[in-house]
Amino acid sequence: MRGESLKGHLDLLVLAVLADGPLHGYAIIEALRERSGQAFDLPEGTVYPVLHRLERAGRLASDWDASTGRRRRTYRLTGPGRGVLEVERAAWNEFVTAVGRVVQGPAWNPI
Amino acid sequence: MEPDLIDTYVAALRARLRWRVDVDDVADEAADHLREHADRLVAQGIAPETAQRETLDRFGDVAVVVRAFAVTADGRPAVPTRLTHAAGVAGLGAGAAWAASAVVAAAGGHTDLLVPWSLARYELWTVLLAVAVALTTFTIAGVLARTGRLRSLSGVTAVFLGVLLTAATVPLGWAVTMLAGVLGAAVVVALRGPGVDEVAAARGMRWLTVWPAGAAALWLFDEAYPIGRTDEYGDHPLAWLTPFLVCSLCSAIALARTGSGLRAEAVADLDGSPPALTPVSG
Repeated sequence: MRGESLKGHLDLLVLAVLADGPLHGYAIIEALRERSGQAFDLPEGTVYPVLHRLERAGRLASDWDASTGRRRRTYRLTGPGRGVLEVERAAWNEFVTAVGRVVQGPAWNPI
Repeated sequence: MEPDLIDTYVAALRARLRWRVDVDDVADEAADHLREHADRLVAQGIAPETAQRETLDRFGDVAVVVRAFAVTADGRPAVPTRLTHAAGVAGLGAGAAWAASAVVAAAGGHTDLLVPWSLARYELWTVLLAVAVALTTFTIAGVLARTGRLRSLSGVTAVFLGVLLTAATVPLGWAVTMLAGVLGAAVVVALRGPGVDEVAAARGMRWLTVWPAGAAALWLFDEAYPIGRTDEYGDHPLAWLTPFLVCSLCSAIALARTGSGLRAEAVADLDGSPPALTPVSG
């Protein structure tokens, strides 16, 4: 899958990855790559503006930690972010089901 | 210790993103990401320099990452430019012009509430108003450009109304509170939505909502519940002057703050040359 195809859905993908718990930026991108079956091929640095935008929109919150010797920022879903994820996830499932029905053609009926 | 490839990359990223107030956080976050990945590759037996090159390849060219930070969610550029910098200068001028127009109005520019009215002062006042509105419109355009809204329908409408109002101010100076009320409402509509609050300079423009409120107060106390004496035109100078003074002084403060904010931002460098990556020492 081309990176451009994923780009339009990055907000939803990031929210979905964070649904399981807080992660730092590198771990979020690794999870995106892993869970997409290595299909995620956007320049990794372009994910950070998305994280910052989602935080500004109140869908994510972040905390800094320096215990590893480097400053590290960890992101987590907020209540509103979780709500948006549920709505977007339902809309996506509906979309995929509808498109799938059309693309795959009518079910074979021998009668 | 000499800087390695990652240090050079992060320094270039920091330099190109210096217009962002959170540039240090962005640079630290990028450095953490890059070190984490390079360390993992080195742990797998890859040579440090090769690991760093592969890491930087995956992270993306500095210009690509800078551009990703420079656009809104729908891809419109929202960065400090020479236009927004010039709009900052205009904002400072607009603030001064609004303050001066308030002083002249109080000194008998339009009403003879405080001192006797004179045609010369009225004409001076309308010229000051036209200057204030013209510079305000330029500042509005700068704020809209800075927040990626200049080419939106509401952004174009706000600027168009500003130009129209500038032209109308000299012949219709007495109606400035009503006219600016329309402009203030248009600015508020154009600046709604996310992404505005992060631009400190843009926040001040919301003060222009004082104009629609002032227009409402003018109508209320001039027409519905008249206050003060009635002049020879059947108007109520107190009902006119009070909202105008409040609104123009609020605008003076808002425009001056917006102007200094826009001026203080470093102009973004989106097309600069990529960093020269130095080899890992030792």
